[in-house]
Amino acid sequence: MTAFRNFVCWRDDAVLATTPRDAGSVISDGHFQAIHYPLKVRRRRLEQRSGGTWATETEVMEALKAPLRPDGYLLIPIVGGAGTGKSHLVRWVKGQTQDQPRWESRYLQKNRTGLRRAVEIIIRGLTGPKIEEVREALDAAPAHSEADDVLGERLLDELALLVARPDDLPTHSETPTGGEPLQMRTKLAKELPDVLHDPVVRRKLLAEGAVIPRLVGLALRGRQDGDGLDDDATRFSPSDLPDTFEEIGEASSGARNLLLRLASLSKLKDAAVAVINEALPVAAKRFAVSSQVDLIDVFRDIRRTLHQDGKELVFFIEDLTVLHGVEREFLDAIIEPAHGPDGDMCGLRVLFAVTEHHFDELDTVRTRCEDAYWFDSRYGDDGVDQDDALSFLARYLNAARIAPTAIDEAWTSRHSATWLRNACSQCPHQMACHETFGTSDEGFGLYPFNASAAGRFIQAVSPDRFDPRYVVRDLVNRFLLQAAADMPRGDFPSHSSLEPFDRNSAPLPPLISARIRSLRAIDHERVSNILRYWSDPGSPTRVSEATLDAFGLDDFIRELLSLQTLEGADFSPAPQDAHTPARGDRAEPSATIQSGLKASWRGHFDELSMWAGNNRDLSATATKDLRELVHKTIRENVDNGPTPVNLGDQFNETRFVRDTHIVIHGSVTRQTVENAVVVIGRTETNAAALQGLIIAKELQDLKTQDWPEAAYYRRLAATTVEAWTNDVVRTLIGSPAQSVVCAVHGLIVASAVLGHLTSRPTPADYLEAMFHPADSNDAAPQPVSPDGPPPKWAALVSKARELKPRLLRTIEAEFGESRGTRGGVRAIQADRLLPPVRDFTSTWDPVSDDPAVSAFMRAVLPAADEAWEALSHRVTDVAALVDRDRSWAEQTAKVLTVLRAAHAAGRLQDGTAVDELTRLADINSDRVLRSFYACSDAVAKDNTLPEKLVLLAGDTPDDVAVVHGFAKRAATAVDGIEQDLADRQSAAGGATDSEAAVTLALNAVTRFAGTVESVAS
Amino acid sequence: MTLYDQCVDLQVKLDAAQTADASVAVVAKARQLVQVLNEASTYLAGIEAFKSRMNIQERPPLDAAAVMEAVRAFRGGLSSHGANAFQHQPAAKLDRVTKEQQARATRWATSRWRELFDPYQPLIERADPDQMVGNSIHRVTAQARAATLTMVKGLDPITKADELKARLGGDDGTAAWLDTIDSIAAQLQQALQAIDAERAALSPEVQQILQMASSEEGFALSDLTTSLLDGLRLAGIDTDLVVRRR
Repeated sequence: MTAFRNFVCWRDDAVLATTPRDAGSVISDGHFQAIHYPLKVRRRRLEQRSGGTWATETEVMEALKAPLRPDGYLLIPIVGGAGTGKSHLVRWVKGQTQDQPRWESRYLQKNRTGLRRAVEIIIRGLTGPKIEEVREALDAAPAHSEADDVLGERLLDELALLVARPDDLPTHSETPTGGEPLQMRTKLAKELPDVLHDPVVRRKLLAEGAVIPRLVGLALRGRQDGDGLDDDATRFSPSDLPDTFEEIGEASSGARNLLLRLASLSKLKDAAVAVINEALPVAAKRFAVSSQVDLIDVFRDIRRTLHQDGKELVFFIEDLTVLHGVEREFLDAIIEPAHGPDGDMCGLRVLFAVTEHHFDELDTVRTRCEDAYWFDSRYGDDGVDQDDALSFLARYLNAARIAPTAIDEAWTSRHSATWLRNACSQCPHQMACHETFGTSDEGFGLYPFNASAAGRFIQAVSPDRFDPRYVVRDLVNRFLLQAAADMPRGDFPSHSSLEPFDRNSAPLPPLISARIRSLRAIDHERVSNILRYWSDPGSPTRVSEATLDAFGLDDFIRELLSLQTLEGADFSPAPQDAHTPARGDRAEPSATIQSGLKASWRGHFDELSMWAGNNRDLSATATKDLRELVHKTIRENVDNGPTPVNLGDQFNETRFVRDTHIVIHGSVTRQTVENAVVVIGRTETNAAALQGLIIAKELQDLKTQDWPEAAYYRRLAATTVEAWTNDVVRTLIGSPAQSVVCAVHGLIVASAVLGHLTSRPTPADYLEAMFHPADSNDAAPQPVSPDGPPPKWAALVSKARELKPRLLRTIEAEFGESRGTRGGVRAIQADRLLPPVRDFTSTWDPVSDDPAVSAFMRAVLPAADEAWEALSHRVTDVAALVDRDRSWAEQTAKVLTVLRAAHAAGRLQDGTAVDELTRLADINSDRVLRSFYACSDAVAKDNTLPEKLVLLAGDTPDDVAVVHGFAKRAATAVDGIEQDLADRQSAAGGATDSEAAVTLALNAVTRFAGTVESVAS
Repeated sequence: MTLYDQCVDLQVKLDAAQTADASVAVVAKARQLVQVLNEASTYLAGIEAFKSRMNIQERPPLDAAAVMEAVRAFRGGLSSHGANAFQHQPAAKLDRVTKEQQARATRWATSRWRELFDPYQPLIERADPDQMVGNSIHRVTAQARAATLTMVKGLDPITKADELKARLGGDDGTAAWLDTIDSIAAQLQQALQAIDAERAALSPEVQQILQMASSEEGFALSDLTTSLLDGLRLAGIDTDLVVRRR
């Protein structure tokens, strides 16, 4: 006997034979009975949306057998969503009543029953004038002889004819009598036919997979197994009409006008679709059956015939939409009283499946229905409980273990109710298997599930209500087929087999998952899967050794013990949208490591579990807090690490920005990964590491002896954070960002403009200039020249003075090294800073794309050119007046001596010249002439931009201004004196003989004295 | 040329100009002083002639001692400093003293000249146009002579000797002027007497009117009667009177 390990006891062909999409109508009778399990339904009125009383299938059957209404009919709806088992119940009741005396039964399957087929079934085996007319009409109907594509064209033509006369349509809703609806209806009656006749529109509607081929197929052949069509598939929808510019643009003029309006006016489009859908049943009937067939007359004929035969007509309709096209006629026919002036008709019983809102607008039918039976039970104790669910599943599992033909043969040759054998009874592993994996109440083995796994899986696919279709599809069909492939490879249970359940199942605690990943690098996935689903409720590490052994994981048993040391971490929050905890759900332990956390962090802790285990996105708050926690932790690591960084204010703002450089995958927060440095993927390890960080942050006094898992949390967090820190460090020491490079360039130029750069600078000089603090007096214009500095240069200096501190902060943040977050920059990483410095200074191209410096850089060349031109002008303007070989002091002294002499002689017309020139002569008299001639030499040759900037930003312009100002003022004064001399000489007419003057004076004195004596004496 | 070189040259020019400025100033000062001295000498000489013609024995109140002291100091300066002495204080003092003596002489001479007209002052005052009523010829004559005497009286007999000569005639100077002055005064007196005679011939009413018209109050127009107007017309003096607002 082979070992019970990765044992596949089911057959793929049996699985497939057992699990068609619509078991109710496709499956063979044998399989149908083999898998049938009576699910509970609720009985309540059709218009009642909730509540009701529990009912069994037998009660439904008895309800159908109940006495007819006085009007002679009995309508029993089975209500539920797709896949809930409506068809299954209808078929079961049909099967249970097939021998009912005096019942003329008609069974309309959901699948493969088109309108034409439905009518054929209804009149099958009956005779009568109307019935014969129907047969003839069916033979004459286009559907009888024409191909689908021709029928599609015919359907469109019929629709075009019908929508032109909407008032003739047997509408369900009231025709509008006025206002906008009537206007739209009138307009559509005129223009909609053009749209339906338009070649472009027809191509779209008739394309493969489009609405018209679908409607033709439904009318002719009905639904197909697994075609995914629902009630809406029997109708036009707004999206069926062309609405894109490309589609409309090619249409004919008339059609295009209406299509454009339909595309822009949703109300008009809805009205158009409504009119088409009103016309659709009539059109479908015309091409599929014939417009000549009056179903009400036919029914009367049938019912009268059956009445004469003493029979009742009984319909089993798996889906009322199979009668689309004649549904309204059918409904009108079946509610016709059996007893009337034209004679009596047979009684009528109808058991039909519909979706919940199917009769919302059909009061005449709804009010004539008996209580409905609803398939809307939840999975849980207040609905389909776990025992029911396991029994439901186990029947499928048992059928999947038996050859399909064997089941059909057993059914055909059955002699009792126990016609189906238990496949486990012949299995050599039955005992071990049933002990390990358990059985249903009926004794069918649950393998490869156990109760926990099955409960969790069913819960996962039944978030809102117990859904047999999903259970069959995901637990039987997909799971068993995938498991059959996985097991021989030792891959069971693979991620593929469990994917449908992942999102709605409680995840393993990330710590456990991470630990498993570290322990089982190769097969951690399936180990985790087993622990996640097959473990006992309340503990992810409680899996029987036999289970592990059965799945080939006997070598994990010892490691499982080590995992159990992390038992305290066992907390798995219930899925958010799981309404009722199933047997597989774990209860929250009374005390967990995270129970000591504050509510907000405990919430984040739980979110992380679901983030990794369920692919549930983190909330915005959790994302923000976790990013902040990671950011802070990494920053502290960097601070304590060997990497030289500047942790000052700019660090968080530019170098390591929480919201830019840390990305957590799987978050509702929009994050850009383009500049991310730390990318935290959605993994169990990361989740556990983040949980470890939370614990480390919030529970610093945690005692390891109380919480054994704490140590593992710490190790995991430390390892992970170290890796993240290394990522950050690599970025910090890597090439600087382009914005930083631009800042370096800008800082070099700003430093040069502010006069911090020396001529012929070395790299060290550049660094020194860059880190030279920007003083408010830097390159401030000196009041030596009345003209001042050129305006562009002055503006450039002002901008540089404002810009440099900002750029310096950026540079210091990138290249600086500080101690702690508050320490100033104490060193610079020159090895990282010098490359961009060298790059820029090799070209000195003041162009930058970075908006922070681009405007400043653009202003450099114009300002330098303007200032250089002004400087050149000043130099050349007074160069001829200045003596290069004589000291400035000597020259200014001579000028001042002469001017003072002239002033004393009254020959100096400029009254303030001496004072002003004295002031100028005292300014930097020891260097101005040297600067002047250095500048004179410089302007005489071609200069590079940095050479110009160094000269312009230094003392030279001021010194030149001093020399220029002195020379110009002195020259003006000297010229004035010269002119005065000339003027006076000319006026005096030459020199005078003083001796003659004396003589004349002496004579006059003598005469005067004599006269006085004469007169006075 | 550099500023420095330009200034070197300019300094030489300034020095030369300074020297030249000094010589010119001395000469100018000398000329000014000579002019002052000569003017004063000429005036004083005119005083001598005036005294002689007018037979005035009184001497002008000149301070000869101050003059001599200033002259001595100036001459001492010249001997010590040469031409530069014109720019020194003694030269300035001599200039001031000379001007003071000339001013004294001028005040004395004009005073003596005006005293000559004192006898004729009542006649001159009677020739006030407001005071005279009568034949227009006599009135004009009287006014013209009185004006001549008044104008001549106001002239400086030393510095305006030429103008006096033109108005009073005579080449020999003052003596002839005195005769002319007497003659003019006589003509003035005759004209006044003729006016008085004419006035006396008027009716008492007309004389009263003329008297009242010459008074501050005037003659009220309301008091004018036809007979009075006829009397004025008859006397030929109606056109001498005009109506004025009070």
